[in-house]
Amino acid sequence: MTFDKVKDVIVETINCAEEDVVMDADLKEGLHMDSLDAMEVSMALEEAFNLTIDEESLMEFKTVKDIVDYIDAHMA
Amino acid sequence: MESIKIIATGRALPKKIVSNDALCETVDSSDEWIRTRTGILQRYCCESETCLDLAEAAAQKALEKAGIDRNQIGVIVVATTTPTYAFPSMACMLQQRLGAGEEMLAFDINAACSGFLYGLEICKSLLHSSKKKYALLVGSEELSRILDYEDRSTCVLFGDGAAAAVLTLSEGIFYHRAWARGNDEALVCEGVGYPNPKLKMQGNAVFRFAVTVIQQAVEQILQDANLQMDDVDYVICHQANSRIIEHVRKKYPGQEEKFVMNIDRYANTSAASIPLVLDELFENGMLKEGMKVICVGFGAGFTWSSTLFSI
Repeated sequence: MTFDKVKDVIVETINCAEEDVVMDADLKEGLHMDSLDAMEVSMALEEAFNLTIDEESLMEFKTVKDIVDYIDAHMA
Repeated sequence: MESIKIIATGRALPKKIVSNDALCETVDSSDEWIRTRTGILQRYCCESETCLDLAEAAAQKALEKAGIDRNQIGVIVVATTTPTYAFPSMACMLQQRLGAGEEMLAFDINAACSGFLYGLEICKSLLHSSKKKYALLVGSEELSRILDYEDRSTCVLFGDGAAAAVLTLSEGIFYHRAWARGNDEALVCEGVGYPNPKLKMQGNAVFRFAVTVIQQAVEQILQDANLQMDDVDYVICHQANSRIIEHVRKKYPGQEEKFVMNIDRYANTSAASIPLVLDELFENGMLKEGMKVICVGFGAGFTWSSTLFSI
């Protein structure tokens, strides 16, 4: 399932608590990610899912769900 | 194999230290923000000193420690993006200020933050055909002169400083790789004659570039030398941002301590950052004969470079 894999990547990359990574978690306010965290997570996701996340989309991600939706749309 | 030996190093910094708190009196940021996002606690900034003054002071220290005959210097290379003059070169001015002989090659190079490593390879190649025994390689920067203090995400990252190395050819290990990829969007500053040249950087693009090429450059140089990370004593990355180095060293579990950092005290000093680390390691007795060191530079250009050598 995409969410589980995304969650693993986020937890491993920014070293946050697993229970904080829920679908509607706000990346900035909830997970305290800054732009470099977002870039690190994005690179780790690209490796994990073997896809490219363009920078414009990366800047538009607000929640974990946005990431999951983007990956589902681009994996299809 | 023919290698280049660092006989002695020296460093020079401006008198003025600017803490994050002091910087934030005029820049809309905070010590907490800068510290947690960059690892930087303070930087040095020129007031009365010039980039050339710093280069001279660093070179004098290195030459005093080396105790060599200055007439035996056949090459002076200054790596800098912020030369005091467009011309004459800083290297030529060092010939005069240091009282070295006139028969030499003296010139500046601009490979941004990879400058010191580009310079090592250049000095090695030139010494090979030189009538003289020694090269002087200096990384010197006065970046405070080209910072846009309205751009709070960039101006907090940089500092001024210089470090120098006296070099000679010797037997040992020396592997070197260098790369270039033209890009005048991610990290750029207009040149001489433009009204107000300022450093402009797209932080995310540079971060992505840096963490990708550092790891590739480390792996490539290990492969060239037929060595593993276990065989290496230190990895000295250009000190651009602690989070770039932390990202890379996570890829080498159990060996994180080999990745040296001093960015907390100097911020990003571009071409001076790698020799500043080397000078501190020598000064603290941490570099001993026979140790193997990897240096990785990366920066505007884009340029990047890795070197593996023995002390």
